[in-house]
Amino acid sequence: MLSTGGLQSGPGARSSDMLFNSIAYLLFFPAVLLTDMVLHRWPWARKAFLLGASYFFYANWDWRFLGLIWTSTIVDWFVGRGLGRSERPRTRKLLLAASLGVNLGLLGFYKYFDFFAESANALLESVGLEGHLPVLRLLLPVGISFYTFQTLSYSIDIYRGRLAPARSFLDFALFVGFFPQLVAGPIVRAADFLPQLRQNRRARPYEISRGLYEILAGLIKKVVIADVVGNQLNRPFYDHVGLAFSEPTHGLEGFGTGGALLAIVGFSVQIYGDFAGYSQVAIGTARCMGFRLPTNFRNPFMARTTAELWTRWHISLSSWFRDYLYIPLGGNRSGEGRTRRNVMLTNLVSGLWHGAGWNFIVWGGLNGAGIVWNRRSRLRRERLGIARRDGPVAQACQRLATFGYFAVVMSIFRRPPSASDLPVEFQRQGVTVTPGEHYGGLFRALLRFDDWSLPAGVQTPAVLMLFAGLALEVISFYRSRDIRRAFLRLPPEAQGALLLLALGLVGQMATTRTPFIYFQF
Amino acid sequence: MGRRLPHLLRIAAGGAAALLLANLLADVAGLRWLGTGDREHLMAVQQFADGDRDVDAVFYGTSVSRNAAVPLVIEERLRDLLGREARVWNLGLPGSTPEVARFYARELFRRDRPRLFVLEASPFLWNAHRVDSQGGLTYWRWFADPLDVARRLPELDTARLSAAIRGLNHGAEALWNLPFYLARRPQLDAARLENPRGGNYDYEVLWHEDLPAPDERDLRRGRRRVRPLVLEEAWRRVLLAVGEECRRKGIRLVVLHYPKHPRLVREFAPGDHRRLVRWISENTRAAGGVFVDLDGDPAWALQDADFRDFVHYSPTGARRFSRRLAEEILAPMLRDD
Repeated sequence: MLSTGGLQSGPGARSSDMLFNSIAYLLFFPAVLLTDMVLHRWPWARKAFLLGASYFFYANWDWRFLGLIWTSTIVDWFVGRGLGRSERPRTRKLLLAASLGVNLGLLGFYKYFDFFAESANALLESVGLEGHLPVLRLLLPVGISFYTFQTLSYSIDIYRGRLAPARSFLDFALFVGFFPQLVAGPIVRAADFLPQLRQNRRARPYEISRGLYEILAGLIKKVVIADVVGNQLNRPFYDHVGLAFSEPTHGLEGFGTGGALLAIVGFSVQIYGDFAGYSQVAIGTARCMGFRLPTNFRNPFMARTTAELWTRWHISLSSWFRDYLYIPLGGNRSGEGRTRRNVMLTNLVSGLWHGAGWNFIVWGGLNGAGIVWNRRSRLRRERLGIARRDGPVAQACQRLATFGYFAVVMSIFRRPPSASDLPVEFQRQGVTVTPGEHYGGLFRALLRFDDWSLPAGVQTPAVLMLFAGLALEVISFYRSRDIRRAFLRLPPEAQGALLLLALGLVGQMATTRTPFIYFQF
Repeated sequence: MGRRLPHLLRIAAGGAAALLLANLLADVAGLRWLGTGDREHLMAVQQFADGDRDVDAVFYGTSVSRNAAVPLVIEERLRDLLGREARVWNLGLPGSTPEVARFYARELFRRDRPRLFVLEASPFLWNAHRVDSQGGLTYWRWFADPLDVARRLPELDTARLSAAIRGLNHGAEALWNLPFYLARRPQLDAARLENPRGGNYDYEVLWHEDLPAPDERDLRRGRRRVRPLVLEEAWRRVLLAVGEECRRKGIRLVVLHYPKHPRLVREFAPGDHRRLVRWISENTRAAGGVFVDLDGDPAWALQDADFRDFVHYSPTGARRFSRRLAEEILAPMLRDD
């Protein structure tokens, strides 16, 4: 299993895993694409094939967890049908409760049971009692957070009368299990996807080119930017920074403000490249087959406020929480105090969705605080009649400040290194790094205001890739469409040649196969 | 399928043309090996294959033989002893596997070229456990051609298949690597001089650790971790195939057990080395080769100063060993030949 660089727990990559950045996928996808083309005339056979391929794709991780997908699929299929037939409020509520209970129950059990058991035991011990709740060390089923949210949104939308139940079980099962988005999103809404299945959409030639373009662009974000920055910059820094301040033998050289700044920015670039790259490959894969998945990232680092950033980052999740948590809580309709409470609650839950750990909850809380701060500033400006500054320098400063806050908060998202991530000599001595030592080390390094050198092990190409990643973000903000259009205007042969060269770049940089970070959520 | 399949085929045709062109360009411009830390050795393999001069001996193995056999020293001694020019190649590759030996024997060797093929007998080359290392993919990453990949497709696992597919696109990879290589060339050259053994193993850890020899009780209790030794049928077949190729081409196969540091023996479970030596000697005989066990000969025991660590020889040790190897083993064999 490959380490995810301090983001331990959850599934890692085995040689047999079919990651988007694996050769197995490079063979799987063309086979699926060609068969999909052949079967297009027979919609039922096409969907059955895509469903089978999706389950095969998922079973590569662990076939035993297919049972969970089937449970979620079957329960919500019947809940949807029941909601479609019944007019009685009590029955409808019971049906919705069944969907919520099964989906959130599965998610809660597999993802959060150990966290709550450990936290409860620690709490009991802190007050002098003995905590005996069992810790089960369960393996987290890949994608459970994503497909349970998809099926939940289906049942809730039918309950609210905004969606008609799916007519075909096959369509519904494919909506839940469609392989491009099954394990890490984007979280697709039934209202967007089921009509595409009913229409039996097929890709036009330009959509195939567009899809391949998105796949390669996503792979470059993941393999060339995120993995290089993650393995060659972030890992040497984050795995050692706690030791640098807690173990006198380690040495502080390189763990100063320069290293900390690079690592803090580096982790944001890594996680963005990793997840946006994954989403782009998923969207491109679906596009090649004629399906459209929702955009998941829209240049988040160019946002001018934290609130805007969260409308550009993991859009399918942010909008899910907006529609199914924030608005039902009252949204911004019940006064400023309630609005702030709702923002904070939504972000805390979003933090917990990302992982069962206190660092994720703190991370969510700080994001919520950022949004509340933005809101407060906006209302204050409106009250005093001060116009927002919109000049180029002001915009650049706003973007820099927003990104700076996001990056510092994101560094909390990264957990302390596990024992096996530490240098061998410390492993042998049984040294571990506590969260206090890890985060304390990080912020002490940042606030030393000296030592601008790089820590040992950080490699220059990673620093170059970090800046390349940021530059790409700026270029794609202003020129993304132009570049894509220029590519799509080329003859297909030239497109193929460029894609091959891009694949060469991906192959060249893929020295190790690093799993996608969001698989563990 | 309408217009979609022709469109896809046109994209594929463009990709295939770019692949061929990039590979051709990389090969003509000598960029093929840019992406590897073992560039010099892979280039040596290429030079050996392209050359037409007589060759007396080719050494192959992992970093053990790469570090132990110094071609210049051996050539010098052989010249003195045989009274003619001698030519020796060390084509050892760190972390590599016996598959590369079969590739050499099958694809690179010709009738009587070389006269001797000196193959390493060490747990590092013959241990099936090592297949998962990057070096274990050397053959598939760098040498396998499309036909070989297609022919042996059913026996390839994901890692080897990945390496083979990456290898097919080596031209595009090399072109991308060029700017990085040029930018880092001074550091790479300096690092290579400073650390000629390469970075294929974490020897520093072993060097600083004073491990006692494991005994059976410790192992049973799981107190000591030892290097695993797995000898498997596939490697036996490779050794037999190498022997068969050598016999067909008139090449003498010598399987050489290099003198080891006593500490290395202790890193394996008791009896593992004896098991390995027995396995190699039996199979070498079956392959029609000669097994030379210098490790079992007290007269060949080396001093601590002859080792860089517990596995590799120091430059002084390697030169001393190479001289003696030329005098006592290679020269008599070449005279017989």
